[in-house]
Parts: sequence; C-alpha cells; structure tokens
Amino acid sequence: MLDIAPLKFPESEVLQSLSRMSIAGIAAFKGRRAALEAALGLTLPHTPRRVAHGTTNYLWNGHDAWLAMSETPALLENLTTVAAKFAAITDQSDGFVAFRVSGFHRRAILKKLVPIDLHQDVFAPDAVALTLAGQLPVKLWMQDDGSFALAGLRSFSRALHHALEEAAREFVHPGHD
Amino acid sequence: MTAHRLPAGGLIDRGRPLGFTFDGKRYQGFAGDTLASALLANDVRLVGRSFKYHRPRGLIAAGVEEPNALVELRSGGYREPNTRATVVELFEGLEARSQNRFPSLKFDLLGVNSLLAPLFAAGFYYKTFMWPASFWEKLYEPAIRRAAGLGRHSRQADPDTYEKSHEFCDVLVIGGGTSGIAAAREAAAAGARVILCDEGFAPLDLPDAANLSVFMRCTVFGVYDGGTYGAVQRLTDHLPASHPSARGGPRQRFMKIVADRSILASGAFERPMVFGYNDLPGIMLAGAVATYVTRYAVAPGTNAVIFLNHDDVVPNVQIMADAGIAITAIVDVRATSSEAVRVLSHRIQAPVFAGAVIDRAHGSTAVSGVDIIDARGTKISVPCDLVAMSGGWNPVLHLTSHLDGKPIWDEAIAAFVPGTLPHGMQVVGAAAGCGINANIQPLWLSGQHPAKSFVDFQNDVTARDLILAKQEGFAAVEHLKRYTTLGMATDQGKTSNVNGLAILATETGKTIPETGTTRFRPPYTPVALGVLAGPHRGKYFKPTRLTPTHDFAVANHATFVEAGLWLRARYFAQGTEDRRAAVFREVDAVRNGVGFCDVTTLGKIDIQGPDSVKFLEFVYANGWNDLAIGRVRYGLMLREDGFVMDDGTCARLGQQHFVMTTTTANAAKVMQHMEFCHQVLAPALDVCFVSVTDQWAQLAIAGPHARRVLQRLVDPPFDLSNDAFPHMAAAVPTICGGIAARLFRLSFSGELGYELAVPARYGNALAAQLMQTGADFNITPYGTEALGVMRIEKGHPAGPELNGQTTAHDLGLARLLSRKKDYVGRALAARPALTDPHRPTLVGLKPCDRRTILRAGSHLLRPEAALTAANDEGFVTSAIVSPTLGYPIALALLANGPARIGETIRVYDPIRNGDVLADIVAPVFHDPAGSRRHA
Repeated sequence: MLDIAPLKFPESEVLQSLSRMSIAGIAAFKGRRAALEAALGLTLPHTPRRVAHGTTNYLWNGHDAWLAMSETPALLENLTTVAAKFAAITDQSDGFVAFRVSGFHRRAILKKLVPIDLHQDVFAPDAVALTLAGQLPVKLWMQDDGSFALAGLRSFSRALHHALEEAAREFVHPGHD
Repeated sequence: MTAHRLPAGGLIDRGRPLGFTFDGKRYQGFAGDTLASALLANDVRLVGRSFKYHRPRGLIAAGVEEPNALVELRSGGYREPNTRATVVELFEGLEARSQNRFPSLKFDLLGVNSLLAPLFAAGFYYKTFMWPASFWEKLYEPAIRRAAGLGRHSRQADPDTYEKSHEFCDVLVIGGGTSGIAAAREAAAAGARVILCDEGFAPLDLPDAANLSVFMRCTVFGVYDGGTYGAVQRLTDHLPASHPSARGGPRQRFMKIVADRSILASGAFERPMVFGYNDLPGIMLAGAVATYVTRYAVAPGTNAVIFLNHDDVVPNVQIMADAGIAITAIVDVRATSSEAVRVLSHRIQAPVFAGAVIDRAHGSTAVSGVDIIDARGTKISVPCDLVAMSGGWNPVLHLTSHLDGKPIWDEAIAAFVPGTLPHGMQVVGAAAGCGINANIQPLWLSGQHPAKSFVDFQNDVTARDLILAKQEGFAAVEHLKRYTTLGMATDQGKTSNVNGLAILATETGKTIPETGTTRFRPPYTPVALGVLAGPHRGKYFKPTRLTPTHDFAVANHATFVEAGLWLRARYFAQGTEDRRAAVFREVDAVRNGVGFCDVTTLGKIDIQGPDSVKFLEFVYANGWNDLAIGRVRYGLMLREDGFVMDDGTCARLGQQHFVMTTTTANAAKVMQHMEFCHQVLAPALDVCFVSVTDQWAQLAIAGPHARRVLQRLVDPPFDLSNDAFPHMAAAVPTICGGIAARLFRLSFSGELGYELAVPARYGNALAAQLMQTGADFNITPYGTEALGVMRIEKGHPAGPELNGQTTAHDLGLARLLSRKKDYVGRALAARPALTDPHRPTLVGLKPCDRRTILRAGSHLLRPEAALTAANDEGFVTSAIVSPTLGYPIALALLANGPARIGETIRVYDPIRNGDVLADIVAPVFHDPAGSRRHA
C-alpha cells in the first residue's frame, strides 16, 4: 500500500479541518428518483436541505442530485450495491476537503466570505447552500452541534483554509496552536 | 486671533489633548475634534489651494460636502490624498499636509495661474492643446495634470489590509441624524432586523438590541440592483498607526448590504451664495459655522456678516451670537425680510439689510470685508473676518438617483427633492425636503463679478464659465457638466450642482425643471480601490489550485508555472541546471527511458446513464457507438458555430459509464458546454455527468521502460502485455496492494505511455513510489515544459492551435467529422468558408539552416513577396528547439498548408527582428508512423 500523507492545516479554536469522510455523488436517472428513495429507504430533499439517515448525511446538490457523506469507508460500495440501477454513483471522497467553523463568532467569520444570509432565522439547522467562500465554490451546511461546515474542492483546500484563517484572525487568541 | 476655541461647550474632551501636524507644523486639538475643527481652533484658516487657479481656500463646510479642505494624510506607503479635513477624526500624531501648492501653502508660485485665469476658462484645454494630436497624451496632459490635479499617490504598495463583509437586514437606515435614529428605533421596536449606518463618529442615542446593528464611520456609497447597497466602514482610520487595532486589523471594510427596505435619512447640504470672491477663506456656510460652535466649541471668526435668503438660518445666527461672535450685518435677499429675521436682529442688535445682496468680498488670503448693495443700489462696505452664508438647503438625494431616479424640482422650497425611488427605499426628514428653506427667495448669482464668483469650488468653476458654456452651445445640463467640469470628480457637485444649473436656467431663460438636472452615480464619496479588492491582492488576487503531487514537486525542486488557476511543475532542475538543460534531460528520459508527469489538471468528467453514448455522439464530432468497454478514443468537440472547442479523450469503463478528459484550459468551459447541451439542446437524454477532476490524481508514465515500471505497481493478475492491454486500452485495476486505480494506455509524448489515476489522497505517495520503483530505470519526473516540447515534436494541437479560430480542417482533423450522425457544430462546420483549403492549416516548419530559432507569432510570407500585411499567409503557433532532432522546429497555420509541404516559406518577425527561411513539412516531427506508442 502507498503511504498517505494527509493534507495538514493549522487549526485554531474556531477553525478545524473535518475528519476524513466518505463522500459519494448521487444523481438520479430520469424518472428513477422514487425508486432510488425506496432503495435507500428515505426521502431525499428537493430543496437545499440536508437529511440524516443512520450515519449518513444526504446533502442536496442540485436538481435530483445529492452528496452522501459518512464516516463509513464502505459508503460507496453500499450505495453502488443498493442504488446503481437508479442513479449515477460517483466517488468524491478525495474530491472535497471540509472545514469546520465554530464558536460564538462563527457567523461573523463567515459573513466576510459567504454572500448569503446565515442568520439563524434564515439559514435553518438543516439548510445547505452551494455558494462561494471568497472566490471559491463551496458546499455549506450547519452541523448538528451548530457549527458550520464548508466543503471545497481538494485542489483549492489550501486557498480555502487561508481565506477562513484570515477571516477568523480577529477572533483567534494569540498563542493558540 | 480670528478663529479660536471657545472657553466652554462642544462635544470635545478637553481632558484629552492630541498633538498633530499640518504641513509639518505642530498643533494641538482635543479628542472629539476633526482635523478641520482643530485647525480652526488654532486659527489655521488657509487649508488648500484651488484646483486650477491655485487660489487660497479655507473651510466652507463641516461635513463630507467640504469642497476645499482636501488634505494628504499620513506618510510613506500609508499616504492618502484627497481626504476631507472635515471628516478626519483627530488622533495623536496625525500628519496632514495641504495639497496642490508649490512650494508652500502661503506662498504658492502656481498662484500665477490666477492671473492667467482668462486662459483657464472652461474648454480652454480642449481648444488650445488640440494640435498636434499626438502631443496630447505625451506632453500636454501630463503637464496640465501636474499643474492642476489634486493629491499625489504615494507610488508605494498600500501596507494596509482590507476586508469584505456581507450584511443582511429587513431595514437599512442610512444616516444617524434625528430622522434616522427615530426610524431605526421604530423599526427595531417592531422586531425588524435593522442596520443603521452613519458617516460620523459621535455616539448615537440608540438602544442596545440584538436586532439593531449600528455601524459608525460607515458610508453607504452606492445603491445597486435587488436591494443591494455598497458601504465602507472605516475601522482604524481614526487611530494612530501604533494602536493595536491599526497594527493587526484591517483598515477598512467593504460591506455589501442586502436590505428589503431602506430608509434614507441623509439630511441636507447647505447651498453657498454665488458672489464675487466668495471663495476667500473665512466665507463659510452658516450651518457649518453653527456646527463648529456647538459641536467643537470653535468660533471660526469674531466679526460676521450673514448672507441669507430664507429663515432656517435664524437659529444658527443666534448660536453664533451666543458664542460671542459679533454680527455686523444681516444681508437678506428678500425685499421685506421676514418676521423671524427681524426678531433675531432686534434680539442680537444686528442691522438687517433687506432686499440687499453682497456684491463681492475683499481680502487676500482671508476675507477682510464685503461690499453690500442695498435695496436702493447703494454700496456699503463692511469689514468682517467671517461671512456666514446660506442660499437654502439641498436634500442629500444622491442615493435616490443611483438607479436612474430623477430628482423633482419643488418650487415651494426651491430645491430638488427625490423623484422615483429605488425599489424598497423611503426618504425621510430633510432628505425628503421636509422642514427646509422656510420663506425662501432663491438667489443664484449675486453681484457683478462672475469671473470670480465661484460655483464649484473644488473644480474651480465660476459663474462666467457657465455663461460661456451656454454661449458656446453647451446649454444642455449634461453638456454643461462635461464642458465646465461642474460637479465632477470626488466632489460630485455636493455644494455646486443646484447653483450651477440654476445659473444655466437663468441664462437660457428656462425654468429649472425645464433645464433638468444631472443624476448622481456611485460612489457618493471617494472609495479606496484597496477596500474594493479586500483580501484579494498580491498572490491572493485569485485563488491557487494545487495538484495532488504538489508537495512531491516542491520536495523535488520543481519550478512552477501558472496554468489558469493551477500551479503546475514546469521542470525539475537538478543542481545548477538551467531550464533548457532540465527540459532536454527530461525529454531524453521519456524518449529513451521512462518519465512521469502530473496530468491531474486535465478536466475529468464522469458520465453515466442509459443515454451516455447518445450524449457523447451529440457533443463530440466523431463517432462513439462502436467504442468497446475497456477502450479509449480521441474526441473532438466543436462549438455550435462549427469551430473547434476542445479535444481530449474518453474511455468506456462500463456499458453506460464513461470518463472524459478535457484540456486543462477548457475544463470548466467544456463542463458548462455539456450542461448547456444537456439542459437546453437535448433535455430528453437520460445522462448524468459530474466533474471528478479533484477526485483523481492522474500521472502520465511514458517512455520505452514505462511498462516495466508499471508492471511492478499493478496488482496481479492484471496483464499489461501489449496484446492484453494495447494502445488505447482502459481498465480499472488495483495497484500497490489494493488501491483502486484507473489505467489508460494513452500517449501524448509519442512514446509507450500510460495514464494512471488513483484517489487524490495518494498523489504524492504514488509519485514517490514511482521514483523508488523506477530507480533502476532512472525514472525522471518531467514538467509541463517537456510535455509541451514532446507534443510539438508529435504535432499534437494544444492551446496555441485550439485558439477558438481554428476548424477541424485547419488542424488536419477533418477526417474525424462524422458523416453518420448529427452533432453540435455539424451544420455550421460545413460552411464553405470553414472548409476552404486556403484557410491557414496546420503544418510543421524547420528552418532551412537547421539552426536559426523560430518564434511563435512570426508571420509567414512567400520568400519573394513584399513584406506587407496583404501578403501574410499565416503564422507560427508553437515553436521550440527540439531536443530529439537537435534543431528548431515549429507548428504553424499556413494557407493551403498541406499542399505546400516541401516548399520554402519566409518566417518574419518584425517585433523581435526574426527573418528566416523555413522548410514546410508535415506537422509530425518524431516517429510519424506512430510505432513507438504501440511498442
């Protein structure tokens, strides 16, 4: 086996990289959405929302398309087995790198980068957004603990981390590593 | 002593004295002062020289409308020109300098311009410096700009940082005056999310509520579509550079505010009176004088003449009198004055001249007196050191006009009021024209000195300029503005616009509504470009995309090149090698041994679904029906207009599963094109596609030993032999003990070649493993430079040939255009002009002497033809020195090219003095039979 040297990012009390997840793209073939939902045993969101099913989160990702995210390494295999007849299943586990922005100032940090309203009355706990952080396309959602998660393309991960780090700078106590 | 600090009062903290310098001289003010109030408190009344005539100028106003007191702040890279002293908060150590004077403010040599004033009237430059035309840019304009012009740029990089922010609210309140505060309180109490922006720094009387955000030192400078507002918040401009916030944090913040509704409570600006020599220091707006007294406890003079035409001035005059300023005369334009003024004059014991005007002011660097013409036409000279004037108030309606709203003239108050409003905006208070200009009798031009009666102080536009413009036919208000520069530049006509167009109306015998008004555009006040850029500057101007072998490349001393947003390894120099040596070595390794190169940046699109083949048939010009599972094919994509859009390969991994590659440059464009084709042109097709560019690290492994190296990585029992896995085969083996991979037998270099893809997390590890596994073959990492050299040797078209202007025919790919199906671009590609053999078509070139280098961009002409554009027959697209052949070669697009192989052509480069004869050859220089890639 090849040794993996995971991407390393400096962390702070308000910004961390999310632990590696399995990520799979799901895009339903024409007229097969209902069959797909039946096979998965859940109702997939029609709008930019997130639904949890077991240990897997399904994030809306465009018309009849979703991203499944899970800590389970077998995610892709499981989905392919169950749903490949009804949807295109694509491994994206290495395509995205996700960061977590947490703490009291999380909205103040993100509003420097994200052009959408993250106010609690507007951006619901299960909301998902395909938007921008600075100049970078991201998928943005709120996690169960109230922190925000941003998944960006792997090739842009250092740029995304830099943007988040700069936005968070005023809220990070010096000396924290 | 003229201007002076009052012994008591004001919103200043007398316990916190602050030292500052103006033109190098030290002064003291207090916390709560602006630079302007502190200068006045020190009796500094001369603060600048005017734009064209270098006339001495003082403060007119107390806020952003100030046209004269533009100063340079700070020093070095921090220097900022054109800042209004009236809005600069004083801090300890502030350095300010006057502008536009040489060598000093009090003695300005360029003041001689004033004597030449007849020459500098409106349109003078245009009329005088017309000939010869070429002199304008090089000589006239720079010289004029040096003499006129405003502040100086530091010519250094801006050391400050800036940031951006996105704000959302139900109600945006613009302005923190009485009306704005009332609106914000009411909206917040009703439960709305409210943002209030105020330009100033005085604390506002607002409740502390979660749904109410107050941004001080914040200017809403523009209104944009969809309820979007642009604002700049000044975070550290009021702090010394040594302050911790100023050291670490951003200087300013650009805010994009999205609001359902906005309440504009921007108040009103006072209008100056236009009379002779009305620009002398000491002639000020009456409201500004009152502001200096009440807010800053500064009396701008000791002995004032009041010039008015309405009753709003009365309380302000009372304030002056209460502060001990002697009111020598009240000049009231109105024939019978008014009850309010009569009561005032009685109370403060000041004479009123009703039905009178000021003809002119006297003084050299400050006002020393005025000539009053009374109702009977008698001239009365009155000494004074302060003139407080008010020609009425203009609602500050700039923002109402940013989306083309047209202000409406309100005859009752002789002022423009907001007309059609931007969607969601409401205007309140003085900004709406409420409660201003009581009993006004407009007066637009007073006295008999139009050439010295200033209308636009900042741009040095006089009443005479306006009259002249009308005489010369520039009588439309927009023409007037351009011809005279009235209301232009940083000032945006805040004090001058209405006076200017009223004078024009008088001259043309029209009413003001008939004359119309110019509209305003953003920004309301100047905005630093740095704050618009925010954090996107220097190397962060655009984001950088890194390949999955980036760390490997860094560790192996790669030199990088920017390819779009990507940073790619260009070559891997060893020791003291220069670029050429490194590239020659890398090419040699691939041609004679084995090398590898990161090709992750090629766009990768995963295509699945029952109609995948149909979709490929539709978007590609060549056929896909017969591509077997486990095979790859070269694909050519056309735009709808029939020109080549992109090329690449597409592999069939399953019955309805394909993976496509695009060029690096066109990856996003191809994806967008495919979305368009699917969503708009062929929505019935059941196909799904998604970018997997970031998911896979893809390495090209090429060279005669490529198979031997790969054999050691691929898990058994996968058979790599030429029979089992021939050229253009594809498979999904595992490597290195179980890692899922994708393997394609492809060759861009022309050698035996593979492209191996693994999940991106393994990118660096795979590169390192290849170095180890291939060590005995001296495996060599190669960069984009060697890649490019080898593709030119093989005659593969790339970016310079796929330039958006070439057809399949031009690139020698016409045989790929299918005749059996319809596809995007088919019909228009068949246009006769696109298949004309005389079109420039791909050929190869070799210099006849096999020595002289060829350069991309050189033009091709027949050897005997004259060197004229008419004889141009094409150009060189890509040129290199071929390591494999040992001499320069090039690809070129040449008219009727393929038919001319064997002829000689002249390669002419007038820019870099290139002129050489070359042999026209086939575009494949290396292994034309293609046997090496099949080995």
